[in-house]
Amino acid sequence: MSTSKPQVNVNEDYEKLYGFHVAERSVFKSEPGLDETKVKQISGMKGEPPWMLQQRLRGYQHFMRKPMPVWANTELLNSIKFDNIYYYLKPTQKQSESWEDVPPEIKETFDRLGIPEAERKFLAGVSAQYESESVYHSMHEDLQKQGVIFLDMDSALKEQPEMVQRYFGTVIPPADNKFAALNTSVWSGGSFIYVPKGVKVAMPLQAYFRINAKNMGQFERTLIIADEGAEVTYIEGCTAPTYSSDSLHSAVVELIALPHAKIRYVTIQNWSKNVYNLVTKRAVAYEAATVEWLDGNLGSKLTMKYPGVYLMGRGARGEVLSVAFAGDGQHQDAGAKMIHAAPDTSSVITSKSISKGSGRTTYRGLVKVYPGATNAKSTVRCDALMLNPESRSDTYPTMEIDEKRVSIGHEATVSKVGDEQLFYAMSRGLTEAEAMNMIVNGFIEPFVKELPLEYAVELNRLVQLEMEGAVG
Amino acid sequence: MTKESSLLHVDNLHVTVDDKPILNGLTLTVEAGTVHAIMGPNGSGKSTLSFVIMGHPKYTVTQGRILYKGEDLLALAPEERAQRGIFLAFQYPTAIPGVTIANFLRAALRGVRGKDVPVKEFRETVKTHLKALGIPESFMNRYVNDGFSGGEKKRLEILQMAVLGPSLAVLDETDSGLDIDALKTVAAGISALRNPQRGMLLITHYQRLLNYIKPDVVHVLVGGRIAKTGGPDLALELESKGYQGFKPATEPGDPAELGGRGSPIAAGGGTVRK
Amino acid sequence: MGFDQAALDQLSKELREPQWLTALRRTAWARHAKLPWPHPSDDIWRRTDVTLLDPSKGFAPTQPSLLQSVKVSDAQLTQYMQPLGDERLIVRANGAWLTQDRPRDLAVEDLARASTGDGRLLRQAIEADGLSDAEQKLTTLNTAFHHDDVAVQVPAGYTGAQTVRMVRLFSIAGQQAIFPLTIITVGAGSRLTLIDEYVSLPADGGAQPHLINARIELVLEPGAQLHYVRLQRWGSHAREFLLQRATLAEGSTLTMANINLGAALSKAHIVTKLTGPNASTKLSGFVFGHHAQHIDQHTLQDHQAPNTTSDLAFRAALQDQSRMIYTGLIRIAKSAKQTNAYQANHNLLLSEGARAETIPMLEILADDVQCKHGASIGPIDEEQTFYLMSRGMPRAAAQRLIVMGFIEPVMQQIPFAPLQEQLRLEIEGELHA
Repeated sequence: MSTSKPQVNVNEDYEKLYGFHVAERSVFKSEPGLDETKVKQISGMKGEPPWMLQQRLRGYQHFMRKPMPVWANTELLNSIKFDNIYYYLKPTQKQSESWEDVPPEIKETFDRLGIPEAERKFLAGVSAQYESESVYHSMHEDLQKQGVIFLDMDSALKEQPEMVQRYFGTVIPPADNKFAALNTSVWSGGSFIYVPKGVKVAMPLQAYFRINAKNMGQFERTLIIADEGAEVTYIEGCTAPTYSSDSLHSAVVELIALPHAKIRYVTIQNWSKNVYNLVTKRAVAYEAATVEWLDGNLGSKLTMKYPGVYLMGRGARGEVLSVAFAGDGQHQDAGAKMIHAAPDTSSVITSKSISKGSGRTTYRGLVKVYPGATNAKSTVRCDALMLNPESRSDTYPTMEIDEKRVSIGHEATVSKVGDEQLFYAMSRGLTEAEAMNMIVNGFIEPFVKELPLEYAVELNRLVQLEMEGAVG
Repeated sequence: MTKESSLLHVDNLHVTVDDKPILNGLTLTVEAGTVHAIMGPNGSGKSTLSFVIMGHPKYTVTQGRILYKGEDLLALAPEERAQRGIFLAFQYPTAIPGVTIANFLRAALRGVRGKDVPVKEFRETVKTHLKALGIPESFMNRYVNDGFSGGEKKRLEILQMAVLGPSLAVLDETDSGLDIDALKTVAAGISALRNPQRGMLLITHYQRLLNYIKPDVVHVLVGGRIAKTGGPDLALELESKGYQGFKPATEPGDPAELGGRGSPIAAGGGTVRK
Repeated sequence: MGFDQAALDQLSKELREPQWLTALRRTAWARHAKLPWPHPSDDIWRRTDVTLLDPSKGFAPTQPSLLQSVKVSDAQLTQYMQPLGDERLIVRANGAWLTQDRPRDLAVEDLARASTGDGRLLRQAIEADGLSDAEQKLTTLNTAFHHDDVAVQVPAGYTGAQTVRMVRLFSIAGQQAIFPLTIITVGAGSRLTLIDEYVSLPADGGAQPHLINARIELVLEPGAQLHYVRLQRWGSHAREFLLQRATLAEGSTLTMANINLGAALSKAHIVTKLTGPNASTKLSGFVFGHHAQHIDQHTLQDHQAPNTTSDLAFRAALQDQSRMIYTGLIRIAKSAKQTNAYQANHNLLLSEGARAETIPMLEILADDVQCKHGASIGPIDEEQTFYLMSRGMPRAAAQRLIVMGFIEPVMQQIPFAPLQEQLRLEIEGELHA
């Protein structure tokens, strides 16, 4: 590709919009590095029940014992300096229910990120996490009346101890993988949602995760339970300042969709390029339940994230729709897992990725059909767009089928923006830049059109285009 | 002649697809040597009727019966129906990659006749029909419907009908998707196969096919039932007035009545998509 | 006798081969000892128990002298000595040529004999690197212990139109291991159609497994055109590891079909290296899985040069309790601009107990490429079945026809009609549907 061609730019204004930082604020900050004492200290400060401490210690053991994965970007993984990371930073004494009570520099940060404004406009509830703790939390009154529970995870452990104990770690056990184990040992913050039988939450609930401090480790833990026939949409966003040293974000998200329930989980991941984003996300869908993961990955240095759905009941449905963008120095290693363990289950995976400069995108996926999961249907579609000669794209899908009466299909393409497409659009009067813009936007359209309008606008703004060397 | 011994007698037929009712008490009799046209809006159940006659497993008969030459058709597997002389020209013929038309036709003829057909006889039979339909012989080496244009698919259906020589031919929207020249060729092919022993059921949305094949009887199918039966003039009447005037005795507000593209019934009952 | 340096030396002495071959054996054996066995954490090795392919686990090498003493029955022989059509048939049983008129214009010889002349190409073929450690763990065994080898050297400019069909018969007793090596070099601008058929005949009629560690190297020099069919008819107790590699120089063209009918277990790595600009290849594969067969195939389309094209289509029809594992990788190097690469893997499950796994992978390091892959797993399509039944075919006949149609694209890649016909009849006869 010649250099005079228009370039698609993502996150061009990251520094201005998200990459800023304010003075560090803490009421408690643990020493860098991790050991058993620190795990006990976190649990003790939070005043947790003994079972949770045991869970954390189990997680710690597994984290120490498990080797690093050998199958992804081992070079980047092995360069994580675990001893430099701050595993727990408590920014305020308590969580507020009014933005006015949030400390000014933190409020200013969330104002700049547009969170209070979004809350006023179209959200049913908001949780704002800063470093290790949720600093602001609110939910519409009518949802409270309907019995919807939306809390930060620490409060949930106090206010809903039975429900938390019943479901915590059941979808993703401490030993699941090294980073899930790490999260289990040092988790803090995250969301807990319970939607009672038949309640349909019309407007989305949102959580926003912000890292401000240097060398920070953020380990939120989220658990969403949609009871029979319930429906909920949850949106999470995240950003961080740009630092020259690395931060680590390692979340665990467990979703449980009971019969006929529907959960839609939307992520717009936009960490700065010094954040390792190593996340475990998994859902269980029971009879006729639906779980949809909408997963947008724009930021971070290395992301490893493969949202999964275990389809455990007849007629359960799972969907992963993802967009990944990897710019210079970034590696988005993302994908999906669909486990068909019941008849008439269906899954759809659609992955769109764009590699620019030295960016690398990887799709890694698994579709597994167990014996007896008759009439299981799964379609996987992966498309990758390469913008520069230095770009790289990998596709590693696995299909394991142990049942005859199924329909399983996978398709993938890798290409650059086609000259014919550009020519066609330009023959209709578009400039090359406009044509390029249109084609790239069209490429991610299947993802964007599923987003709530405000997020679609935001995403389109992030994926911008400019003519390299153009005047003005 | 009693209805029971007619070539085809459909009696109070009720059919559902995925528990959705599509046909709601359809009655129809076709005698040998006659051509019946069934016209109706999208979603009225036209294709369902053709698939039920052929025995597609997706369709469930909840009530009523179909007799063919006095025999209970519903008790038979699809190939047994074909072996007894029933032929369905599909609206959307299925592609079978890797299987040549030659192999396919020979296997079909073997099934219908119950014995192998000598290669020489087979070749000659096919050759005659290819010529009559204006199809080049190279066609025989192509894979069944694989990468075919709409016109080619329809021509292959007529070629099969000609080779298999059925007693009852059901032609499901054989005119759809054809340009005027292809329509003429296909219609001529069908007309040439009219004879006193053979009954035909032409299922169509438009009247234009009937300009080339004059039916003996025209039925209007709306909401899963025959709303009106008449002579060839009825088709012309429909062409000028449309289906609006035909409101069968069915539940008010049934979406099937409204028909039209995009109606849930049209999507569920009219076509089978892979 | 086991697998050790002494066995190796004994073997090379009996074969009276040139010194450089023996040196290669020794190097390979030393390398083998150093390498670890492939680890199941590697996706390409996860689904097959490699210890089943380890000859030191109860297998004995078959010495050349022993090999020739094993009798092949007349009945067995006549079955394979008949040409299928107008091909040039070459039959070799247990290391001995059975057909007299080996073509003189092509050098078809025992490797040891072929190597005495200018063995440059042969040596390069054996030495060629680019294999993973895991692959080398198994291929070094072949390099150390190969015998009953064949070298086909097609001179530059050769354009013989006649199909060459080479049938290799191996009579193997239970718990024996063999290490056939086949090297085919196709000279610049030459053209050849070669059918390479491998048959094992159980020598003792017993149910003991035998081990085959086979290697096939295809070397295409600039502008060469090769149509190559590998037909695998190992016996039902055979365990196979195969490395089959093609190296394509500038402007060369390879059309290849791999037909897998036999063996209890087969782990095959089919590698195509496009090392010269404008090289192109079309690769087909068919696995007919039956009984409790375990077939694990890995393909690599390795694009190292610009303007190269590869188009791979592997299909499997699986009945009984058979299990198919397919992993395929398209790798496009940074320098391989303007490359087109396609890969398709389709699996038809014919029985309740049949299983399939497929991992089609892409590693793309250049941007100006067109790359696609597709994979599917499923039973026979019900709409197709209904269409055929509506034409009077009973269900079983309809399904058989659909399966044969599924196989047909691979059959079309076999450039020799009589073999196509033989395979169609053979496969259709084995179908339960």
